[in-house]
Order: sequence, then structure tokens, then C-alpha cells
Amino acid sequence: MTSAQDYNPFSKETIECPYDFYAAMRNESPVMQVADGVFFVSSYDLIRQVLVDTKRFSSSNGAAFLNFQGEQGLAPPTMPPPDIANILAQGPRPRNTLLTADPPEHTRYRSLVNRSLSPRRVAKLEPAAIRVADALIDTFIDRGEVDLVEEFTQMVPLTVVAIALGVPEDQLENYKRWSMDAVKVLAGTVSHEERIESAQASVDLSNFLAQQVEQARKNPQGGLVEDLINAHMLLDEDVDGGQDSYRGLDTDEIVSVLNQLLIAGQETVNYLLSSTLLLLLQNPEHLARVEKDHGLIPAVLEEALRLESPIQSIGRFVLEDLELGGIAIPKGARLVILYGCGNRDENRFEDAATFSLNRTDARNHVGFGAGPHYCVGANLARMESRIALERLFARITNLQPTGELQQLSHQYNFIFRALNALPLRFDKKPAPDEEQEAAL
Amino acid sequence: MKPAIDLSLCMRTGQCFYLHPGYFKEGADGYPIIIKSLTTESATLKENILDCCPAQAIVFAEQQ
Ligand code: HEM
Ligand code: SF4
Repeated sequence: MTSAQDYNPFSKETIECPYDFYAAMRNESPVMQVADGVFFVSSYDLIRQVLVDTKRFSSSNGAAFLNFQGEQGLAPPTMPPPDIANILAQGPRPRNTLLTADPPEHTRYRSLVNRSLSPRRVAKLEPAAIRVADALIDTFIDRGEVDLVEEFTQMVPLTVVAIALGVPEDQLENYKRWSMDAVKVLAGTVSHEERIESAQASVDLSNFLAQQVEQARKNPQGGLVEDLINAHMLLDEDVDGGQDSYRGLDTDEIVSVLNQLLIAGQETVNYLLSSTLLLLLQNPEHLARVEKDHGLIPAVLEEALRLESPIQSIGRFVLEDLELGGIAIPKGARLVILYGCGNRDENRFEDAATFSLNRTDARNHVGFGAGPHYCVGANLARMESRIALERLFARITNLQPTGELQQLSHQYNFIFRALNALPLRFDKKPAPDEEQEAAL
Repeated sequence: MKPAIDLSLCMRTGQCFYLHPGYFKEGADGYPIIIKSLTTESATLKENILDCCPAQAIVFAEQQ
């Protein structure tokens, strides 16, 4: 096998298909230095070890996202230059609430948001998700062909997350543009003009959300916005029968949470759905099984989360000199946690590279992370992805790629595993009553 | 009331012992261990505990 050192982890080829490189790295050096003060963590066990240990591995200090600079690799986040700082100053004061906070602050916010996205609450959104999926399918079903990314997998989560938050549905195009522009800088290789656009988009999105929160304080519209307005943050959990102390959230805090939900809640699910469909097209025998038995959809989704993790990596900041996997790591170093690599670890999953619907331990993947930051949207993501596939397979059949599957490509992005497009041909299924007539 | 955990559902997310360290702790294998019953009848706390688990692995049983 080619050695891990022979790959450029950041080249277009490696990113299009990182899995050979991942395997080499897991074998040779589960902790591997890739730049000054930057280390990859690639085995399942070490990944979990880091994710659960927030005392030594922090999510603050811009830890989550390093600047991806194309072939040049990753660089620690830098202070924004003055012109960009000026733009950012026009938005609400940034607050560290979820993704960028450590316990105990993180814990306080997290318990509030958990309640609004619990399995019980998410189940209530199921009818809305069905409506959204069906309305989208209506728009292309008579055409017999579609780019599923453009017209379906991108639109389902965008619409559903807006409904979950309780923000106006007539602004979907804006949410999409703001979010895409805001995260564009993470993909690196962006010009200074694009950085300015990105900063402007973050500010516009935050200011829009702040406005929504202020309006909802007077005229509540339901959803997470209203939950967060009414939420009382537990400052001191009483475990022994005394008094709990609580306070409400200010608008800047609520905006910080909403921002993360809106941005993290859209494209990730798009990537999961498109990767899932691609895996099924690559494994037609599984596609046939799933089309017949929709009860297999949850297992298919878990397997796609494992094999094609929509978020491939995330960062952590090292708080003290330590040793990890036998490698000395200095305080202040940055770790890149490769979820997508740990999920293919042969020491954890048998035949790890194989797409299988028979795993009993599939849900132990780290595609949603692990520990305190375990994806707060996981319940919503699982529900809406399941509904999207159920509705799709209920209404169309004979899915075929329009071109060669090998021609399909992913975004050149170090963090996201994102199919650019998924053009398909398909047949419309007869409506259930027509089906009955045909059988007569 | 004492929480119970269905370990066949648990995905080792750690949410229960991070968010409610008074009631759960992490076992050596990453699965949670229950360390305490609810002493106050705080409905909010009970709901918070139930809702923190994405696997719906936590259940409350009336204590005998
Ligand atoms: C398939 C889709 C999704 C995937 C693969 C995914 C993946 C992840 C991962 C790996 C993390 C952990 C980050 C870390 O360890 O620092 C995370 C956190 C997070 N996710 Fe998701 N996510 C998905 C969908 C969603 C949805 C639908 C929402 C919102 C409704 C969402 C909101 C968040 C937020 C706010 C966090 C930060 C949580 C915290 O730090 O406590 N995600 N997600
Ligand atoms: S929150 Fe639920 S899934 Fe996570 S460790 Fe606790 S019991 Fe297991």
C-alpha cells in the first residue's frame, strides 16, 4: 500500500476520494503532523477520546474550523483584517454558545436547545417534512429526470429547518445564499472580495435573525425562536433538593444559537441525502431491497453517515502539553478530527469499507460527533432524511444516473463531503389507486 | 424516581453524563452509569434528562 506520507492530503485527487489515504494513515500514524502545530487524528478510538475530553481539547479559540487553503493545506484562523472587522462590527456581538463553547457554558446552552430538538419534538415536525418533500417531488415528477441535489436534497432541509426555527418561509433563497456565503471562507482559496462578501453575509443573516427575535418577543410565531425567547438557562443545577437558579437569554445569545442551527441544519442534510442516493445507485441490490422495504431506510442512512460522513473533519485546540497515540503534542496545537476516517476504522467496524445493512453497531459511527458536542440536530436530520427518502421511493422508481456514476464529483472542500450534482432519470410510480386498478 | 438506560439503544453520545453529571457518569466503556435517583420532583429536570438523549434510551421507572 502507498504510504500516508506519499499523499498530499489537500490535493483535489485526495479530497475527491480520501479513503486510501485515510486507510494508510490509520495504519501508519493515527496521529500525524501535517503542518506546524497541526495534527490529524484518524483512528476511531483516538477520535472518541479527544471528542469526549473537553478539559484538554477545547472547541474555543476558533478551534472548530481551520482555514483550508487548497493545496497549501490548513492554517490556524487569523484575526480579520480591518476592513472585514469593520463589516463584522455591524452585526450583533458574537457569542460563544454551542459549537464554539466549552463546558460549563456550553452545557447551559446545550440543555436548552436539546429540549427543542428532542426526539419527541422532532416527531411533531414529521407532517411538515412530508408536506415539504411531496411539494418538491410534485415540481419534477412529470419530467422523468431531475438533478436531485438542485431540486430536492438541497431544498428539503432548507425548508424544514426554517419551519423548525419558526422563521419566514418566503426567505428561503436568502437563508441559502447567506449561509453558503458565510461558510464559503471555510473552503479556503477565496479571494479578498469573497471574504468581504462572506463577512457581509454573516452580518446580514445575524441582523435578520435579531430582527426576527425582536418581532417574536412581541408576536410569537412558535418554533425554536419562541422556545429560546421563553427559555430559562439553568445556572446552577440543583442535585440535592435546594433551589435551582435560572435566567433568560438575551438577543445576541439567541441569534448565535439560531445562526448555528440554520447554517448547520441545511447543507449537511443535503450532503447526507445525495451521498445516500449515490451509495444506493452504486449498490443496486440494496436499492432494490430498500425500494421494497422502506423500513430499511434508517439503516441505509446510518451506513451513509458512516461511509460518506457529510462533515469529514472538525478542529480542536490543545489546552496543555500532552501525548496522544504516542505522539507528543504541545499546548496550543490544533487537532483535525477526521470523523470520516474513524468511521472506516477496521478495528471498530468489520469490513469497514463495505456498505452493509446488517450491522448492529452502525449507529456507533462518529458522523454526528461524540460527547458534549454530539450533533444537536441529529434527531431532526434523521427524521427529515428518512421522510425525504420514504416520499421519493413512494412516488418514483427505476432510478438511473443520467450519465456515468464515475463522472460525479464532490466539492473541493476539506470539511464537507458534498456531491456537486446528482442528475437522474426515473419513472413515475402510479398513484396508489391507479395501481389497484392496474392490478384488477 | 430512578432513570434507567436501555443500553441496546444507547449510542454513547455522552449527552446524559455531560449535561447531568449529578445523575449519570461515564463508565470505562463509554456507556453511562446511573449514580443517583431524582430526589426533587422537578418536572423540568426530568424532562431535560429525557430530552437530552437522542437515542431515547433513557426511561424513568417509578421507584419501589
Ligand atoms: C446529516 C446531517 C448532519 C451531520 C452529519 C451533522 C454533523 C455534526 C457534527 C459532526 C457535529 C459535532 C461538531 C463538534 O464535535 O464540534 C455537529 C454539531 C452540531 N450540529 Fe450537526 N449535523 C447534521 C445536521 C444538523 C442539523 C439538521 C442541525 C440543526 C437543526 C445541526 C446543528 C448542529 C449544531 C448547532 C451543532 C453544534 C452542537 C454543539 O456544539 O453542542 N446539525 N453536527
Ligand atoms: S444520552 Fe442517551 S445515547 Fe447518549 S450516552 Fe446517554 S443514554 Fe447513551
